[in-house]
Amino acid sequence: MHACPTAAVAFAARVDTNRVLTGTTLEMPFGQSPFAIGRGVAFEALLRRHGHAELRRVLTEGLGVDFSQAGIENLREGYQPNTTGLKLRASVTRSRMAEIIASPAEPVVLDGAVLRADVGGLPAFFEADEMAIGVGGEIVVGENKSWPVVDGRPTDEDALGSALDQAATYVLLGRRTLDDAGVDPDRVSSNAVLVTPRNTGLTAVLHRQNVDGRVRRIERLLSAVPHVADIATSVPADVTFDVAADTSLPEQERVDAFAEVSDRLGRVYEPASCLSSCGFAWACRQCAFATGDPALSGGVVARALPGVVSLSRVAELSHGAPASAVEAPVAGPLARAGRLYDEAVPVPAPRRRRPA
Amino acid sequence: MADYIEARFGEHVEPRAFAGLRRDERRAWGKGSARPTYIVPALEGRFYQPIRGLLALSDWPLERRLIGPWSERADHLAATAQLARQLAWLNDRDPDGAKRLASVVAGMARSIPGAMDGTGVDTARVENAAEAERTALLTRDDPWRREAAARARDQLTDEQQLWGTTVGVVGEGPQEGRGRSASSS
Repeated sequence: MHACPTAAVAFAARVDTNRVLTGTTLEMPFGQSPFAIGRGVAFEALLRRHGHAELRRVLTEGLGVDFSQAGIENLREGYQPNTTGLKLRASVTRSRMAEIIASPAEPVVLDGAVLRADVGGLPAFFEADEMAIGVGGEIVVGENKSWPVVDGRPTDEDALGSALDQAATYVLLGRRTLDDAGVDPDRVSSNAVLVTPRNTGLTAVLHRQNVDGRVRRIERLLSAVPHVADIATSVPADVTFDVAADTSLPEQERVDAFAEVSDRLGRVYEPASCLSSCGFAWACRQCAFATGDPALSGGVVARALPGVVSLSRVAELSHGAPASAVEAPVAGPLARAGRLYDEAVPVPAPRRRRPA
Repeated sequence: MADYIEARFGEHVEPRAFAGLRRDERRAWGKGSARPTYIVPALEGRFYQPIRGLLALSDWPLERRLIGPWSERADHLAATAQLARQLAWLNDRDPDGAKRLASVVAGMARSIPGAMDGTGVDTARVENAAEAERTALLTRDDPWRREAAARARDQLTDEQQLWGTTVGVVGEGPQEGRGRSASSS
C-alpha cells in the first residue's frame, strides 16, 4: 500500500485505470500474469475442492482447533460479481461476525468475507479470503497466496510484505465492523494467517504472524488518504485523462498525454504492488524506463539506493564517481560492489575486426 | 461430473458446456415445454441466488437443491459413498470400467480420514469412512436445509424456487441488505 498521486486522482475521479489505455501497447492485461493467475486459481480450487477439505485440514493443523465439522459459509457463490453482490456480502459478513461472536458455539469460516471501508470519502470493499471464527473466541483473518514458501521462507519478500499488509487491512476493518456492531473489536486476532503452498507443490501450509504494527501503519495511511473533494479542488481544471483514453487518437499521442498528466500530478511506481493492482502500471513503468528510475529494479533495490536518482547514476557510482552528500551513504557499498563485479566478470576484450 | 462420465461411460464432456446447458434449460422451461425434469442451478440458502457451476434436478426436493455451510462437504461424502458402491458392483462385472472409476473414487476419497489405506481403493472402507463423516455432518446440515427450504417456500414463487433470485440492495448504512427485493433471475 503506497500513496501515488496519479492513482489517487484517478480513484477520486472514478476513472477506471484498466480502461484509460485500452488499445495501446501499454494496456495492462486484466490483473496479474496469466501464469500467476493460473497458479492462484489452482491453489484456491485445491483449498475449496471436496467441500473445502484442504482448507479444513490446514486450519485444523495450523490453528489447533478442529474444523472438520465447521460450517463454511461460502460468500463467493451465488452473489453477483458487482457492487450489489459486494454490498450483500458485506452485510452478511457484518451480521455473521457479530452473531457468531455473541454465541460462539462451533468454529465457522466465512469464505470470501467482504469488509467495507470509506477511503477518502468513497465506499470501498475489501475481500478477505477467509475469516475463521471461533478460534478461542477470536476471529482470525486469513489470506491465501499461491507463491511457495520453501524451507519456511517465502521466495519473494515483497510479496510476503504485501500479503501481510492485506491481512492487516482486514484485521483493521474487521475490528471497525465489530466496533460498529457494539462488539469488542479486540475479538479480531492480531495474529493473521497466510495459507500458501509448501515448497513447490500445492500442499497447503498455514503461517501465523502478528500484524499489529502493520495495522497501526495502515490505520494511519487510511486516515491520511485525502478526501475526494479535497483532491478535486487541488487538481488543476485542465488535468484530464480524456486524451489518454481517446481511442480515436494515435497511440503515441495518448501515451504522451498520460505521461504529461502523471508528470504534473506525480507518480510513485513500485513494481510489486502496481503491476498487480493498477491499470496504469505499464505506462508508469515506461515513464520509469525513460528516466532510469531505480524503482524499475523492484522495491528491495530501490530501498537500498536512497538518494540515487537513476540507474545510470548507480552505474557511475559503482565505477567510483564522486558522490554528492545525499548519495554518500550508498556510494561506498556501490563502489565495492562495482569492484567485486568487475573482478568476477572481466570486461571482454574489444572484438577485432577481420581484415576484408 | 465430467471425470465421472469419462470414467464410467468413456464419453468426454467439456465442463464449460454446463454453463450454456443451464441457459438452454431455463429457456425451455420458459416456453412451457412439457418435460418432467429440468437441470436447474443449486441455490445458496441465504438469498436463494443461483450458484454458478453447481447443478441439480428440478424434481429433487428443495432441501436437496439448497447449499449451506455444511452442504458441499455432505454432498461430496454422499457422492463418494455412492461411487464406492458402484465401484464394488463394477469390480465383478467390468474390470476395465472399474479400473477407470477407481481412480476417480481414490481422488474423491483422499480427503476423507480413514478412507484410503495407501494400497488401493477398498470400496467398503471408503464407503464406511464417507458415511461416518457424513452422519456427523448431517446433524447440522439436515436441520439447516429444512429451515432454509421452509423459508423459501414461504417467501418465493415456484419459479424462484427452481431458478433462484436476483437480489438488489435497497438503502445504505446499518439496514443495507435487509430491505431486499427478490425477483426471478
